[in-house]
Amino acid sequence: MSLNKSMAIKTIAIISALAFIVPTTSATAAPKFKLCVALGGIPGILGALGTTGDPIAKAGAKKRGWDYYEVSNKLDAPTAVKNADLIVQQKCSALIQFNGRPEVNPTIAKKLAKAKIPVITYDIAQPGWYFLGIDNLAAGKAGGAALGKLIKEKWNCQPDLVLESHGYGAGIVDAMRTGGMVEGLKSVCPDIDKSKFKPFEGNGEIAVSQPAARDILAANPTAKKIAVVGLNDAGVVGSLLAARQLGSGYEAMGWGQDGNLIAGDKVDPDLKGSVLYFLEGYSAYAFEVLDAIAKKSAPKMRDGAVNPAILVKPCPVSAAQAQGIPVDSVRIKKLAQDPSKTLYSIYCPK
Amino acid sequence: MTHLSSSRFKVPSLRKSADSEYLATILILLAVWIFLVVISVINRSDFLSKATFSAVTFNMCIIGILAIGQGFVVISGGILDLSITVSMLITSFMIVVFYDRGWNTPLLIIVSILCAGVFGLFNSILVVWLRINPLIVTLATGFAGGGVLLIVFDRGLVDPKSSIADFGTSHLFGFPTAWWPMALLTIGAHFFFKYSRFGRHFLAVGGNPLSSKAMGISLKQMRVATFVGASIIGGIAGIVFAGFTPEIRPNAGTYYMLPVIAAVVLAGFSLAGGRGSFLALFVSVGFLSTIPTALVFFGLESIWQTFIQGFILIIAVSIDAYRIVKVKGR
Repeated sequence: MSLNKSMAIKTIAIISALAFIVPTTSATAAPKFKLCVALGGIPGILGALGTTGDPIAKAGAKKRGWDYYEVSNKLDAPTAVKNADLIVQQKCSALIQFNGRPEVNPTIAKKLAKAKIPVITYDIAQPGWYFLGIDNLAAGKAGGAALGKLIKEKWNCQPDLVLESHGYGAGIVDAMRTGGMVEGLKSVCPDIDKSKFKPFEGNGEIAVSQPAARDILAANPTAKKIAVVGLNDAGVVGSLLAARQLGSGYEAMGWGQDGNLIAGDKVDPDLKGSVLYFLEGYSAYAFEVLDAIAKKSAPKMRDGAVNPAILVKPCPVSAAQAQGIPVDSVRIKKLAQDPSKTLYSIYCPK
Repeated sequence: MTHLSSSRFKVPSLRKSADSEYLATILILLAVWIFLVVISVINRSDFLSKATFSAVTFNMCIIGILAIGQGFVVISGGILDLSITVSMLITSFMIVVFYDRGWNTPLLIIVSILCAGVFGLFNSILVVWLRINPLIVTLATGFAGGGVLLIVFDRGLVDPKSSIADFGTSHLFGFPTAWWPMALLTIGAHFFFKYSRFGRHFLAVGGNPLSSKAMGISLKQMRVATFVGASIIGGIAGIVFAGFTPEIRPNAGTYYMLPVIAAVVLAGFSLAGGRGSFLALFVSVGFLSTIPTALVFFGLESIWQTFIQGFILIIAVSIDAYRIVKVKGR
């Protein structure tokens, strides 16, 4: 009996010890957090990252001791859908997604929701995915105000025409960005007559904005001092070129958005500045949400461009300031060395 | 060859009737164009200005050259070249590549255009030796070519200080400098197809390939020459495009296809091949290039041009279809 008693005590002791050990062991055996990245699609920096990989996301994952897996969505909807299956197979803990074929995003979203994989999407909103994007309204206002200062300085706030190169297909993004530029411009020059603002479809492309701007200038033959705002640099540059094509009598200046045509040595002489978003450094911001997910305290879902999970701060730069900022490949290398920073904090002129 | 020459002399009445038909087309198009200008002037007297003239002539530059290349394919019985804008973009991208490597301007222009010619040769190989429908071939190579450009280049930046950029904004004898290649190509194409034996071979092959073959014309050679020639003309448009567009994107060609096809069909080129006038094409391009400018004077955005060009294309294709049915019924 005493033997049985001592055995019972031992058994209880072993079971008690196991009760402590088992959860500890199971916690150790739990799979590591795995960050997956699927970028690539439309031309541009985020498209290029799909081909070359995202060094910022990779460096951030490495720093945190996470596993890392990346695929390219290319410019192909079936590839993006196939990638979603791979992400599920890989048992990813979270996904960073940029898909240039958003028509298949609902299909991808279903697959990932079934596998309970949270997603952070760049610039293209999808219900149920954390939206990370630029603060378009702030970007617009900052660019418009910067151009306004130049107009005040050079033309005493009296341009003959303000061309608004919209990209209506971009919806709310265009409304906030181009509309924001008009707002920013008016904040400096509030007395510019409403009739001088000429909105038109530039589609964010030189091939579209240039002929459209030419036609508007032809229809306003007395206008010679031309200010240009727009959805992006290309839409603005197309309009500036249109003014030069129509003759030397025009004096034009514009301020762009996205910084695509302001860096390097091939800058349009009338593009006075742009607003940089540092798209190539988006992943540095994504870790704000990823860290929370990894700690099992996922933030409240904010999946719209109007109410995004993470807002990226825009950086307005003049053409002269832009010359001091290195190209995106150099910027990426610099940020990858310390992904706890952002490109804004490193490069945006104070 | 003697047989061919003698057969040529058997059809003067047909040629005369074709000439009068072309003249009628030109006059109708001119009348419609003048009507558009007149109502625009009535609407706003300042429509007739130097700025409007510049806007319209700039609008004509790229569309006009591409339409000549497309007209070349249509008249030769190649139906349509849906990849002609890729030829344009190949040249534009190569200009950027060669300029960045320090090549001199004449050399980089010639080599860039030849690159477009190689693309045309590839098209013709698929059409002639694999016997695939030209429409399918050029649709496929148009997509594939655009994809390759996207993978290889992503984008090309033209130096605003370069002579190519200057070419895109300067004027010569009152017209945009970039307008002159289109004007000279129009004149060249007109004389080539009307007065040269080789040019008339294209018309013959386009109009009746079987008879042409019986007359000793090599259909294969003519088809190769058609697609290579069209791509080279597309390449010339690429020079203008590089002059106009400091940032070249692989998808930029999509905006030109509709107005180009509309211009060709409106000019009376039969999609069945064998007939068409390059002078009428010039007028057609001028008319279509005036529409977006006139729309803005009427208070509408120039984006309406897509709708109007599409509408005109439907009417013109319907007239062409009616004409084909009528000819077959004879």
